[in-house]
Amino acid sequence: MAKLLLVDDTTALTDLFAAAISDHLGHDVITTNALAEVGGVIAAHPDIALALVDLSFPQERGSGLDALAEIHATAPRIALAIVTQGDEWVAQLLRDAWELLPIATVISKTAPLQFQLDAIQQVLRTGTSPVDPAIQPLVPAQKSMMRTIARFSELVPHAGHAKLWMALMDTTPSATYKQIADATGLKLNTIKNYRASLLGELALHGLNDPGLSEMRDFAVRCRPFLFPHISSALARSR
Amino acid sequence: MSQSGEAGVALALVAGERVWIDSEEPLGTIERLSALLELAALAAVISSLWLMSSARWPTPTGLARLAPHAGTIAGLALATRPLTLIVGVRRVARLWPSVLWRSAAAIMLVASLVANAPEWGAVSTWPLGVAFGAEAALCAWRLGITVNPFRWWLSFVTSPLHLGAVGAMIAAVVRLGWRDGLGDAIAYFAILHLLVIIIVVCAWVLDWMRAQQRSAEQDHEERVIAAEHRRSAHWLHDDVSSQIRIISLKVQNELFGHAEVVSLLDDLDHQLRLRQLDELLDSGTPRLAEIIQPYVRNAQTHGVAITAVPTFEDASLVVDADTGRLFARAASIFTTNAMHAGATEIGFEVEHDPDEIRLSVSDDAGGFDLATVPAGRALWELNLDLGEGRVTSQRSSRGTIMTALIAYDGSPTNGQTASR
Repeated sequence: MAKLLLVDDTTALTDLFAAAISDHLGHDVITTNALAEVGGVIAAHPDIALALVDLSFPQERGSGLDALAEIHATAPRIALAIVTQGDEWVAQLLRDAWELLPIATVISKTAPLQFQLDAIQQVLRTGTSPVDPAIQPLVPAQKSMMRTIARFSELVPHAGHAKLWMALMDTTPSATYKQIADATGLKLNTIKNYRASLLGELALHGLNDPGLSEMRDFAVRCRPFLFPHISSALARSR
Repeated sequence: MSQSGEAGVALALVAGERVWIDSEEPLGTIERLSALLELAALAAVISSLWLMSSARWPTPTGLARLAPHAGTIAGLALATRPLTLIVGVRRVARLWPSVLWRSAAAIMLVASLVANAPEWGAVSTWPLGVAFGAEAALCAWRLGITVNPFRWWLSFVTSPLHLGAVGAMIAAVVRLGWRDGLGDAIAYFAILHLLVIIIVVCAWVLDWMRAQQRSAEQDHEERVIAAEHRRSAHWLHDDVSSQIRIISLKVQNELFGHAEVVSLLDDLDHQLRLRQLDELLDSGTPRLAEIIQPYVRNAQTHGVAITAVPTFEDASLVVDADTGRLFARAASIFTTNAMHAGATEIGFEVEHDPDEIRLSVSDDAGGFDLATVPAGRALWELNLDLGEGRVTSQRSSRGTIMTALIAYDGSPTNGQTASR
């Protein structure tokens, strides 16, 4: 019998799915509906073998990527699986998670129950399981070797870039240079130069000559990977 | 905003809107109109240069003779930006090269006007102001700066440029005396102010027009959204609620067992997914991966093993709504036929080239002859819609491989792969 963590904001579905896993597979399932609780649960249950994480948390500031990144950073021995609707809404998040983290499998929320249970059991037994066929076309067959969590440090070379990313995370989806200049206290051409200096590195993350809006979406999505570098760059500058 | 901040904004305006564009940002009607106005105004400036030059007597000599040529070159250089904007070229320009060449061109144009017909400077100020005003408005919109004419004029008054002009006027008076120096100095000073006022007023008028247009568009969008909400509410009641009610009543009357309820709910789930797909298709930029998803899921739900799905690279293709609908129809018909024929395994393959998408659905349900399909059936209609020979069936060792070739054009939404 293994211990599993299920992170999903839909309480009723989480409880039913947890009960199904316990009843059919005999595993102990801990559930949480809030991203903020994930760290505490991991600390309280060091014997968790597999974390099943939903990607969409519309009522929270973060996403399932925050939970996955936190689990991977604090307890890398825990196998990570994504349980998702697998629609356009989460397609980008799914790709980021797939490329940046050692995801053992992706399970569709709407797959037949037996298919879901088989996938969980296979991950626990072998460490990995094929991605659900309905979701497979959404994830690249080959992960880019250049795109890694460590590489995010290159996106924050100094405090100026850290201010830019912070402002992008907090701004509206239709970000303008003026808004970012006002938020950071930087000049318009400085922001332009900072953006230009990041273009090569952003291309590794699939952003080809992105506008501020695209950079903002990327910053919001990849916050868990950017934030540690932003914090340390700002701390160094003080 | 601080003095250095205002200097930064002034520099940004000099660099021009092309420096600050986002390639994905759509270009509105007023933006195109502003670019057209800028072009027309520059054309008027160049025309006035040649008109004044030809009307001058005696014929100008020396540098004044070159003024129309130099002014034309400068005007044409400045016209490249609005021209490319109108034709839809959206390449981002670099900041400092833009500042340098555009400043040089603007100075050369003004100098040409002054050298060509100093006493008629005020006439050319009008089209010049309109050209610069239109460009300033375009740039301000890209940057997200509010166009406030009084504040812009005040910034000019406190700027080094204006202080320099005041200094030059004083110097002219000191050097040439009140009688000779003051007249010309005041005239040039007034022309400078007139130019700035025309620029800020032109930018303000264009900004006001844009705000009006945006407000009208927003009202229209709100009406469309409201209508869509009503349509969705009606659909939820008619289709989803009544389906659930039917299931509930049948369970209450013990007409249905557990398996039948599950089967009905699965069907309802599929209907909801098809509805979701309709919404995606209506968005105008569906991806093949999203279109094929409900059919893969439906087959899986009915106990069919999925032996192959398209790769991420092949399924990332973004198509327009019409192409997406044809692709969805082909996927739906092929999958449904295979399931009705008793397939236990189904595989999906997608390939594409610049002209067409190839969808293949393979099954293990024995053989199938396309020629035997009676007229009026879904497959027959699909064949008719896609064109002669574009739906084919091929026997495999275990069953059939159905293939549809779906043409797609090079419209802006077609042929892109999904961005991150």
